[in-house]
Amino acid sequence: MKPELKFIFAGSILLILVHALLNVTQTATFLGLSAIAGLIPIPARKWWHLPAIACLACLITLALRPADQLVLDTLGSIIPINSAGVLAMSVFITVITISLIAETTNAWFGGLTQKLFRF
Amino acid sequence: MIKKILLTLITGAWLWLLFYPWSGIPRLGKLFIITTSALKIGGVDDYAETWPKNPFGESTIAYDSLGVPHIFAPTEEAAAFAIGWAQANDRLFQVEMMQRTVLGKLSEVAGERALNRDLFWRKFRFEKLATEWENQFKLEAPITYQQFEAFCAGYNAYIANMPFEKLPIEFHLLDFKPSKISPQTMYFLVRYMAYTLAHDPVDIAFSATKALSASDSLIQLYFPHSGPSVVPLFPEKEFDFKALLSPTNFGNTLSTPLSNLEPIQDYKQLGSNNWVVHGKKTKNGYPILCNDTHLEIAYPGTWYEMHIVVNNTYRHGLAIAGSPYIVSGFNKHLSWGMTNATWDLTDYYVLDWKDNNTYFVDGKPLVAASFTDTIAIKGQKPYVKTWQESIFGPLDSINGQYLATRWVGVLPSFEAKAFEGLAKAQSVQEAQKALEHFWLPAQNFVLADIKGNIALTTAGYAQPKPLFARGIKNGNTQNALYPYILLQSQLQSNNPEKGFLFSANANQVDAPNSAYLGYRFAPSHRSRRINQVLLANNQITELDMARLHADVLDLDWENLKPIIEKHIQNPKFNTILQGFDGNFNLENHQATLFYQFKERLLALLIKEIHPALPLWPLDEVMYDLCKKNDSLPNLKGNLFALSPLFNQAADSSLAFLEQKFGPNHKQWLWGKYHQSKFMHIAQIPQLSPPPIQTPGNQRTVNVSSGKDNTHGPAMRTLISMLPQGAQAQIVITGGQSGRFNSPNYNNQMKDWLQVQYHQVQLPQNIEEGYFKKQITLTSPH
Repeated sequence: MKPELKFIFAGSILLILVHALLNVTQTATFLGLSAIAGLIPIPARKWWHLPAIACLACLITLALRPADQLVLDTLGSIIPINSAGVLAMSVFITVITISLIAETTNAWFGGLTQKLFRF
Repeated sequence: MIKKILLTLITGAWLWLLFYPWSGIPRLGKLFIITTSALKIGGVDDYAETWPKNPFGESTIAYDSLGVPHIFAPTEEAAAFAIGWAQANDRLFQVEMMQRTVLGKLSEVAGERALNRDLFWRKFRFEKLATEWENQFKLEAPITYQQFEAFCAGYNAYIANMPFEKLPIEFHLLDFKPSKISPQTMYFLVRYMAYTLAHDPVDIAFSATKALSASDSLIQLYFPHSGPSVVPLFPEKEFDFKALLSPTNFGNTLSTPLSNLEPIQDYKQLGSNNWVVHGKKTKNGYPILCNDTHLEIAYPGTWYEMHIVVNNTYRHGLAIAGSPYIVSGFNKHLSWGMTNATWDLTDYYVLDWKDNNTYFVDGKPLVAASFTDTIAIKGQKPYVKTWQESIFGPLDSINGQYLATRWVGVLPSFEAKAFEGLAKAQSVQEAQKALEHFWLPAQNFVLADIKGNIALTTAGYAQPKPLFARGIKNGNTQNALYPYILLQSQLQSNNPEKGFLFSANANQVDAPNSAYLGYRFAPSHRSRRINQVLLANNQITELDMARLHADVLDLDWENLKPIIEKHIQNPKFNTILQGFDGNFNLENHQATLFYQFKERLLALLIKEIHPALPLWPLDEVMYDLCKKNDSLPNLKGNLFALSPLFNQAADSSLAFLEQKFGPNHKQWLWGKYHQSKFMHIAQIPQLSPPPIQTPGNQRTVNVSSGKDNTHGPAMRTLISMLPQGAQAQIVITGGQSGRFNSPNYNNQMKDWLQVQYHQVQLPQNIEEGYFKKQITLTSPH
């Protein structure tokens, strides 16, 4: 496995674990964790690495705690988009949010982490 | 550097987009980001993740297969805490809405569309009044007050332990957090029910109707003191207002033309049933008590079933979520049920204004108090309103008139003491004593105890008036302030000779020369039918009583059959109705035609009386007049012939049904025509089931009423008072849970439609295997 893929998996699991351990309930905590994601040192960073971490984190979260189909259907009919649309929108918004905050954090502070971990 | 700044700007813009409270939609960040989104909402077992300690003692909430909580606690306070927690788990959004309605705070979460509703409530200043009432209650009944505080603590503990993402979906869609409750919430709930049951704009429509008529005798003809076939609840009583009122208590009413007034079609009104049968009329020799309250069949329903065991003493029945008390139910010794007294307890006044703040009463100037209110509106600037308050009540624009409203809802009341007393009462007499504390909104209570006694008691504030006081009053004299009087024990009947008692929102007394208590008593059909069935049977069983709950015989058929036989010339119409028995079963096609006929006939008659009549006479008054006359006068005194109207109603009914369902009249099934619409309380169609075929109509014991048939028996109880205790059967509309994705959201609907019940189990302990789930709220000590 390529080193960046290892980091993507490790990053996703770290994000999930931090979510679970901190019992993330508040938006502010979520945003804080997204910033932490930006500090994960990835060798040979590419633009898609952080979205990939975010995407994987979302999918693992949903796999661990699947959304209630009735809730999805109902939300889909109220909003109105279909239930798959609700799920897709949810993943999309979460991924973009994590990625943007993480990339911004990385842009400002990522160098520090890389120096710290000597990458 | 440019990349850093650009990224920061894009991220900032994205977050602003996600978390800005755009008007009309929930914040996308909250609704869709996975950690906080509605995707995490669970079902019925979605109890808070951590259960709070019960500071009042260890208590257990055990849920049966229908989601009914059975609460076992060592003290009343510990039980109250657990009840609060259980109600929050099942009915959080419902309590939130009721509280916000009375406080006039709906706009804060629902936006401008709720502003008019908020303005209606704000003028009464219940937030201020409740503080005064609470202080008084705390002094007068400190133990009851402590129990209510414990209830609120349990409810609030649930909120504190429930993360936002797991709150009911309504909070996600409207994007707000639930409010805590306090002992004042009880007052708000009582006012909410008082609005439903005892706030009545009929005086406004009555004055507008008077303005159209040249003669008082015509008004008296179409709007008599009581209907033609009243079966009074207390036939032996004469309720004499002269004994209760000063002779100077007479104000003038006004004939006031009003614009934009929606006609009040009284024949659409709702009502409830209750009755109690003495052991001498039942097959097993023991009393049977029945109750069904007609309310909006919303999702979730009004009623919340619960079983409470404190120190091996139990009570069981139906509560209104947001309060720890059983409103209709039973304990080991006593059962009780209620219907609305249906009195006119709202007065409107036109004041003699001289300038913005001065008005004249009995020739003297009075200065109106004023207060300013700021109403928060979601997504908009707050709305600021300055109110004026007179001795006749707050002033508001109502149908284009600036009127003062005097409403019984602003009077203090302490129903908690009455319900606490009922829960502990061991006899009918003790229950009647407890009901002296029941003040608002006035109700007819039926009672039965295991010693074999039965009783009917009407309790609450009454406002006896002379008949001419119907209508908007002239606020130029203090004599127009008709006092509200607590009835205490003036209207009650115990163990009557006939062996049964009942109420169906009918007149308590039939005394045309005595007090006017109300105009909107229910038409007599249901009370006559209940009376008829109970009189005819001296070996009554539980099955007979269940059949009476399910009864769909419309007594209008008796009234109108002679008219149809005498006047209708359309052979097809007459052939179809041949052999009709008046029953409104789902499969009956004759019922559909008869219903069309009577509705159309009433509309034609009203149109002849006046094309824009603000208040419709009762249908039974009109049909009775049709039976006795060949012609009737319109409001100008000109006569119109009735026979052509009968035939027009028959012909147009046939034409309508042929067009709607085709020429084969066997296809005109009542169930196809009559479908009830049961809406979610926030009017979210996706959370409401599709329309349901329902039997009966507005005039049958198994009632279905309201515009779009949105109302019906929101619950049914059938209780036998055996020597060893109560044996009860209950059903509610919808289900116990207010969570739309819970299996208990809609699981009683099928039984309710078929008038089936569930047998109430009365476990005294937490038995193995009976309960589906148990939650123990441990003591911190």
